[in-house]
Amino acid sequence: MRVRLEPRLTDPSLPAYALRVALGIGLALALSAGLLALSDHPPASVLDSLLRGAFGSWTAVQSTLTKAVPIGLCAVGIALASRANLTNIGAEGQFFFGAFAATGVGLSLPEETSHPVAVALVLGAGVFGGAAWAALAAIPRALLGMSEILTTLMLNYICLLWINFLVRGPWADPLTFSFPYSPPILDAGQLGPVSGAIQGGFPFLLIAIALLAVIDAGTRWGYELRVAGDAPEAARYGGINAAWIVISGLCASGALAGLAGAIEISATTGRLQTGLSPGYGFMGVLVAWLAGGRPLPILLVSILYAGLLNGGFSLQIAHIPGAISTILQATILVCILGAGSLARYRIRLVRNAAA
Amino acid sequence: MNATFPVPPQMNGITAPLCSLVGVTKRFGKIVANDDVTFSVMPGEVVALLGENGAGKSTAMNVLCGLYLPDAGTVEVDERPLVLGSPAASVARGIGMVHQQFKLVLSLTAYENVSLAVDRGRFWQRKRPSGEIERLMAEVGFELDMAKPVWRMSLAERQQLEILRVLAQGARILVLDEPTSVLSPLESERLFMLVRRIIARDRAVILISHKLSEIRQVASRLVVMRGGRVVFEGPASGRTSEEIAGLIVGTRSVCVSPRPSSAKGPDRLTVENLRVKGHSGRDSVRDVSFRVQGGELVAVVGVAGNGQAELLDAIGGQKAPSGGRIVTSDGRKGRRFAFVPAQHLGVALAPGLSIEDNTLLGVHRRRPFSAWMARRDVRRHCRTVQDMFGVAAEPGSPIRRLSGGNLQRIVLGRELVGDPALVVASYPTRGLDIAAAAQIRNALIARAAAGAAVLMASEELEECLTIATRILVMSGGRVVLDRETGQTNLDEIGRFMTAAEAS
Repeated sequence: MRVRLEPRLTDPSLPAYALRVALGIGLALALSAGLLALSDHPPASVLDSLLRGAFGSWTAVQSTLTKAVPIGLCAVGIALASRANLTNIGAEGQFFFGAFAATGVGLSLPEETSHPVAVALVLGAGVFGGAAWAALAAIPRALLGMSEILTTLMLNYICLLWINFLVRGPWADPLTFSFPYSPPILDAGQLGPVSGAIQGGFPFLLIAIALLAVIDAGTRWGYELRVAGDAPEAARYGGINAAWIVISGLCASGALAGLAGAIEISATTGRLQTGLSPGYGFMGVLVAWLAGGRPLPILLVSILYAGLLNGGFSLQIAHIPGAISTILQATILVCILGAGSLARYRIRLVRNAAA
Repeated sequence: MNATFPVPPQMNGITAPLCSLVGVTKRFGKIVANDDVTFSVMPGEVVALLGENGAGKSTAMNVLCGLYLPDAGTVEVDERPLVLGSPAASVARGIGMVHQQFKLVLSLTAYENVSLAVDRGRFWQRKRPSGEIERLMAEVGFELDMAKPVWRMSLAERQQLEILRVLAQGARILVLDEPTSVLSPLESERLFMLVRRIIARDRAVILISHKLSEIRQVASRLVVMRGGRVVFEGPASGRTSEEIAGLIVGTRSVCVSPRPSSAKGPDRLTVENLRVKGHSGRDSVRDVSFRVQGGELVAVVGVAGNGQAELLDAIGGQKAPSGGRIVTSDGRKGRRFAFVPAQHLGVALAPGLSIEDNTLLGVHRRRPFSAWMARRDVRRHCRTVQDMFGVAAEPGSPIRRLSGGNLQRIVLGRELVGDPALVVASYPTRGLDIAAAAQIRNALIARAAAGAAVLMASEELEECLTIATRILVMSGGRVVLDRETGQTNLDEIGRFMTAAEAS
């Protein structure tokens, strides 16, 4: 008797897929409960406060949606690049460079600039900044074939150090003394909440999700991204300019991360600071992967992930070590990823008389 | 060129079969690829496994090699059951397969490739063949420089090496999947010599091929498959090519339309002093000039590796010429004529995308498509391409699941949409069964008859003499003969093909 894993001919249907992922989540919760019991924390009450922190009150939901915006925007960008088989793990750097550009514009605009113009310029600068930072990886990739995985990753560190230098040196706010903050950007450039409650960046996330869906559905650019990503030689055969596809794909990906950075500046902190992101760019990679790169699942998963993040914070307030919440997050991710991948196989038992 | 082989000694019926497939059934979703397949292979015989593309030959062989686990049925080797679905078990019991696409490590030497398969467990690799491998090479008559890296070997040498490797693993049942599709006639003759020596020591060979003349030369028994079932099993001797073709195709009739008339139109393709560099950096196309007019069907022939493939790749824009000029009647911006490269997946088709996406490749920049490609137009276009040669498959399913014949039909269908005035096709019928090849020949003839210029490369001289209006023979990168088909014959073409390389 042997066990064989055989790849399925067709991808599982959506309900079948959802069922497997739900099983994965169930398994994750069971494992987490075991871990909590071992570390002398009552599993039920820990999970309860985790969920309360994430979605338990209107304030919690607001805060979760606020965090879902940068995670989701980075994830949409990463998913977009993956259409062309480009792996952008530099969303964190592009996020910060977008935030830097947005702050730069926000600090230099004259005070009397009107509100819509100022917001548009601040966010536009973020889009441009993110794209420019991604271009540093995209151009060598397109012209010399330099691996974008390495360059985007390493550009993250350069950008973080650049931000660190700015907020401690030339852009340090004298009023915050030793805190690594820049001065606040002009009031007119601050993005207020929509309908009084939800963060102003949330509509941008919805628009980005819709754009990704439209690009997939039937744009020539989306088609060329897919062909160039799947078979570069076939792209050349089909008259597709592969260099343009690489550059435009990666820059668009960076632009979305840059927009996320600008939204953080304009709608949340109002100023540049080193702790602007707890790793939104890297969470975006996970979210894009968990969602299989599909638009609607990205929205849902980024909200869930943001909830997990917020729930983790509320655990720490309840004197449960931060490491526990990190372990819980990791367990849940591993189980969902495993369930998603295994769903593409079927398990078959083989009986063999002869050996 | 037509050396005859002695007919192998008839089996006396007492010998036990070397291996048998018994009632093998394999389904893929709704498709039954193998339906109750049963046949045996005796020691010392060459069994030709015949059938159209998609008849189930490859599935049966993949079951034999342990790559597929059948849904029902057994395989017996030496009258004992084989553990199914395990490549290791199949190799251990003496089953070896030489695939159409060679599975060699290019950067290693010939010996290292053999060693990799035979004594992978050794910590310290030997540098030279052991006595056992040398004995095997002498027994079968391999002529290989075992210290040569594989990337420097010709296709024929690589094939020999593949066979040696499989034999060195202890194979007694050797499966050869279309072994001659990459060989010149002379190299094929050498291969068959090897095959005869291989079976001499109670080994057996299962030969998959579409070339009936070869089958009549070497096979002692035929197994014909159609629609997943074995429809004929019997001795090969005394059967004509027509009879064998009839068995393969069944009741359908296959006929090729008459070649287009010689009425000529305007120049559609002009090639002047073209030079193209090959892999090794040397010119593989040297100073080639010719013209193709509307209404012409020009066939480029030659022994493999004499520049035909590079010439067509350069015309199709897949390879940049190092000198000379290519003029087509179309405009400058992008390719506007039909081009069918020799390799489909990865070049003319993106393997990971759907059939629908693939029918758009290259066409997606022409009307009715714009920056927005409307679903309705995409669907209609896909249906047109599929209907051109009758490919019945879900438009959304991945293209790599199609059989070789259907891939060729999709590429050709897509390229012929919109009635191009120039068609350039590299080996359009390679690896196709009789019916599929006839369908594609007819389509090319029809294009030429409608006034288009058609340029094709082919390795089948009979095919060229039947359908082409003009023949170009290439040798050593030059065009050494350029004749109307009516003014030449097989002997003359053969002479020019094998003429000593000029300069």
